[in-house]
Amino acid sequence: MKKQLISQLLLSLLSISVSNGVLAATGNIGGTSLAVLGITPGVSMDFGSIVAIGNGALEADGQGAISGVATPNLSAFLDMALDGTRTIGVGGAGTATISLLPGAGVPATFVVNGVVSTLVRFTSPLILDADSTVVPVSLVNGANSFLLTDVILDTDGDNLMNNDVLIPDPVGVNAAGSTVWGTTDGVTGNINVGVSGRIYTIELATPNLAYPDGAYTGNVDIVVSY
Amino acid sequence: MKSLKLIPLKALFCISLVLHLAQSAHATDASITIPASVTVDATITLTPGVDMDFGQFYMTGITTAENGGVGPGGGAINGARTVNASSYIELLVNGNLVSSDGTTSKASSVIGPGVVGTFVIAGAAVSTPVRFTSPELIDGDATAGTRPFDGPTGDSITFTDLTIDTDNDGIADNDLAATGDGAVVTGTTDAAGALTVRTGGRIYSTYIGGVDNNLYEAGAYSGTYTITVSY
Repeated sequence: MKKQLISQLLLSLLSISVSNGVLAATGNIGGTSLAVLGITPGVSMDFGSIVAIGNGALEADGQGAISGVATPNLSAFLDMALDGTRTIGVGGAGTATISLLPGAGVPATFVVNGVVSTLVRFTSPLILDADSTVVPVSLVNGANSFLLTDVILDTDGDNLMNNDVLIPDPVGVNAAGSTVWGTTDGVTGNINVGVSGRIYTIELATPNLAYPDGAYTGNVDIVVSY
Repeated sequence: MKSLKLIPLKALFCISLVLHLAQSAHATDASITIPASVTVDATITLTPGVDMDFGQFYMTGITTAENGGVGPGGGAINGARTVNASSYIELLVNGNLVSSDGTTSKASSVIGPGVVGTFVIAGAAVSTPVRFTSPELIDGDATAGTRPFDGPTGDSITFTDLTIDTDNDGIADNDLAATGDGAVVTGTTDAAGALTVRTGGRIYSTYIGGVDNNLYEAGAYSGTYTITVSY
């Protein structure tokens, strides 16, 4: 009789757990099932207006300048901080430069809603890592493009990425990039996320000394999970 | 109680273990695709300001020194045009006028200042070097190009040795003109991508038609010059 009662009790607990796991299609280490995460898009990422030119006399393939081949971390770059501040860097051997036009950059925003006071992870092959192996995407205008990479996230509203504990993605989850963590609000279950990154000059379709005028556009994909 | 089939405790622990392992994996609940963009705009906006004005002056020739009015090298009003030998009026980028006699002619400024030319760059890259080029820019070997400023009835004065002030100090010390026909001047835009530019230059006496005389006719002499601004 005593054995019977214990068995009934365990069966009951497991049923609840299984039921929750199936409905939520999720779970965590502690075995507690969590509600489905919701995402509300906010502002799109905008690096603002720039001029990007190369130095024809110094140009050579492999330098990563405007008329050379793409070489992230050697090409000229434009870095946008999470508060919108923009910083530029000259390309390797001075082969290319980016100059800022008046105006600020605009980091992207979105809101995640989940269980209150719970860790949420953000992953993307584009997220900044420690060994420059981040995967880039292109911001395209016709046949020409910039590379967008080194994405950074702010998950606690301080405009800094100090909360973004960058750890390599667990094997099998993502091949490159890092993982950023955030914690949902204790009352609303929300996280307001800011997203920024860095763009690099790349080889133009037709070698010349300046990027043609126009808007160069692309997308950044971020996966959110418990 | 009979309807309840008891499950051995050992089996239950197995089920429990499987469930916990399954729940320990990270589950993807959502993803977001964020549009990103950057805009390239290399167009520089230029707004003309004040026109360059050398003020009022006299220019006269020395008849006796002229070689028949057409002698080369004289550089006077009745001689062949010889920039850097003719008399000239120089307009400094602070507005001051300087008169200098030539080999066979004289130039005298009349009371009143000159007015430097101005124009404004806006909407350019911030804190960025900008280049100014013109065939008339003063250079180191007196090979700057020239332009005529035409008078009322055909006489003309030669404009050349253009100077540019890009840091508002009233002098052309930032205008590091290189040797060659036309030089390059650089300036740096401010934090708003703006830059105010001042221009000066020189006008030289030149050959006046084919008729000997020793005085420029009265009237306004006007012309234009072109400056190219680029990154």
